[in-house]
Amino acid sequence: MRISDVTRMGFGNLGRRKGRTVLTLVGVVIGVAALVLLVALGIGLKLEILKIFQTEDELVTIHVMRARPDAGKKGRTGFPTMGMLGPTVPMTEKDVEELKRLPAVESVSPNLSLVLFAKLGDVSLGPPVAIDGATDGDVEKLRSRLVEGRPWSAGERGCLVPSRMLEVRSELRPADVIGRSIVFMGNDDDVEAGPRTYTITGVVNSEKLGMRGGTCFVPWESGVALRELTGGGLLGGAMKKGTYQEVRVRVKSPELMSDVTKQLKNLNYATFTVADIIGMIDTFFLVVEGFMACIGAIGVIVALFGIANTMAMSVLERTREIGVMKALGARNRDVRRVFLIEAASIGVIGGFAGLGLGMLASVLLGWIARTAMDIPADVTLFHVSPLLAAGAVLFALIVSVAAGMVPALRASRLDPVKALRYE
Amino acid sequence: MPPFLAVDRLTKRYVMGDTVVTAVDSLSLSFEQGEMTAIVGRSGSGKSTLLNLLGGLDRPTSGEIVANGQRMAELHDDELALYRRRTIGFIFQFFNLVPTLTARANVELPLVFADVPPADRRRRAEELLGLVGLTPRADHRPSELSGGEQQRVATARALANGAPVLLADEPTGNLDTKTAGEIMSLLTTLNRERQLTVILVTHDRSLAETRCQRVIEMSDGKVLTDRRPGGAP
Repeated sequence: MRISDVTRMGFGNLGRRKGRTVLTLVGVVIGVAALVLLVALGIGLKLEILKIFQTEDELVTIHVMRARPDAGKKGRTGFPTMGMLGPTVPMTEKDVEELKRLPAVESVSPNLSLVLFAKLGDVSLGPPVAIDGATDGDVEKLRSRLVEGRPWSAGERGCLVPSRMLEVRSELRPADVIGRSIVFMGNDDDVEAGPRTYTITGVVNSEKLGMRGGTCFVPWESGVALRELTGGGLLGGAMKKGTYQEVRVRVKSPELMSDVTKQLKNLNYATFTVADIIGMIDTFFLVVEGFMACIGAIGVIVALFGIANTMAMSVLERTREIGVMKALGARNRDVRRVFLIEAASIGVIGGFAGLGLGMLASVLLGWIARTAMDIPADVTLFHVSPLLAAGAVLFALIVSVAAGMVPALRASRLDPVKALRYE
Repeated sequence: MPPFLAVDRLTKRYVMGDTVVTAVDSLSLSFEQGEMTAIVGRSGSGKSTLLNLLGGLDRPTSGEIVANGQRMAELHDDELALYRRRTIGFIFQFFNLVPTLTARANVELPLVFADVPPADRRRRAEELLGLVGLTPRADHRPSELSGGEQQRVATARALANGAPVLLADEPTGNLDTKTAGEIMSLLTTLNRERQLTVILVTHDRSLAETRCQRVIEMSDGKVLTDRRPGGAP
């Protein structure tokens, strides 16, 4: 039989019992739509989280630590740093100078790694915040990230606070906090406020700062002093003056990232970049998406039994006709193909319709979630990637062919004499 | 001229519940090309089973069928399908047209299995519908046709692949006398004008005697009589 004829017959047979076909299709459509919706949610969340890390700054930033010279010796652990770098030791000004001399490096910024409680006037801001010192060069870069106010002027005890801190912690508008004082403190609250007090001169955009989107910036020298004063902050007092847990190295262009990273490793530095984090996120979300897909697949698998039932009925009803087909010279494989194509048609139609429904539902649910929960419009909740779309339709096709296999085989093996006598 | 279709000690047994039924019992027969043969006998005499065996729809328990020099026991399932497609045209008592297809599409069906291109098979189907006098009914579905018309469509379908043998199982069994006569006339004409070998199974002894060159009477799977009423042609 020609492929066009097999397709026409298989596809055409669906129209014979329209009601039953539609009911079977509904099962497939709902299954595929649920699959698409769930996986789209996983993908959407991943993209949203990746957005935090994939900022212009992070794409050219390497976070550098000094690997402990005796790293690898048993029973010794260094500074816990995201649990993936192994033991490290504090970095010194000498290390900073060494990093600055590397040709591809644009700038080097030591990180104070300071975490303290913050009070806005008398109002406590709740969870601790990260504080970092910014040099004049850093301040110039921060200027373009401002949503409100200005950087501090020379000699001013100014502070730039992240927009996220205001949104989440006190629901203040950026304009409300300019000029107000902010106090940072460790566990020892009963200290004189003077050297810990700053005036908020500006609010920076957390979205654009990526991983540092929750950090308050203060002038470098005063930040160093603040660290001394609070005994290294809430993370512990291991850092002596002039030493840093982490230094951020900014390279001249994103293409140089891997070269510089290799160079740094050779110099016995431990590094991590946004690529490492993205890798971890990808791995994590692969598990999440896989789990979502498994749950979504249940619906399609349930639909499989609907298809199998429909196909079994279809074969039974047309037993006589199968006998006739064989008497007229159809080979077993011709009969089998007609029924397989019939099942596959259910899968393809249901797959595409389910994909359409899933996409529609993801748009609708996204809209409802944004409206009801006040989520900003640029937040991705559901994302239907081309791979997901293709995968969902393909899965529906495979499942429907699998469902049609047994009935189609049964049909092809029918004894023509008995089939012709079947009432 | 060697016989076109011959069976030698052909036996077909099948199990029905606890009993083994011998439907065809060590039968030896041969059929000449272009001859019109009727097989008569009571229900259960094995005539339909013989027809199914001749048509390659069924395989014998033992014995041999030789068609056009080919021993059928040697054929695989696919080759048997090819045999049915190229050598045999079937006509059934209950017409067995596909209810969802038009008369023309029903006639085209064997050509679909034979990979004939759409344009060619349409032409052939219309030609055959013309031959059986149903050109104006080409676009009607079986439910819109009378019994006689349906059997004509079925006959056209049986001729579609140009098979040299027409096997008809009670072709008039479901028709009134007048229509039955018309169908028999059609088969006679085809036999005469196209040199088709026609083997038909029927209950109607008078129809067999008057229209067929040879009448074989079967009983209990064996040949009771084998006569040529009009003398050898």
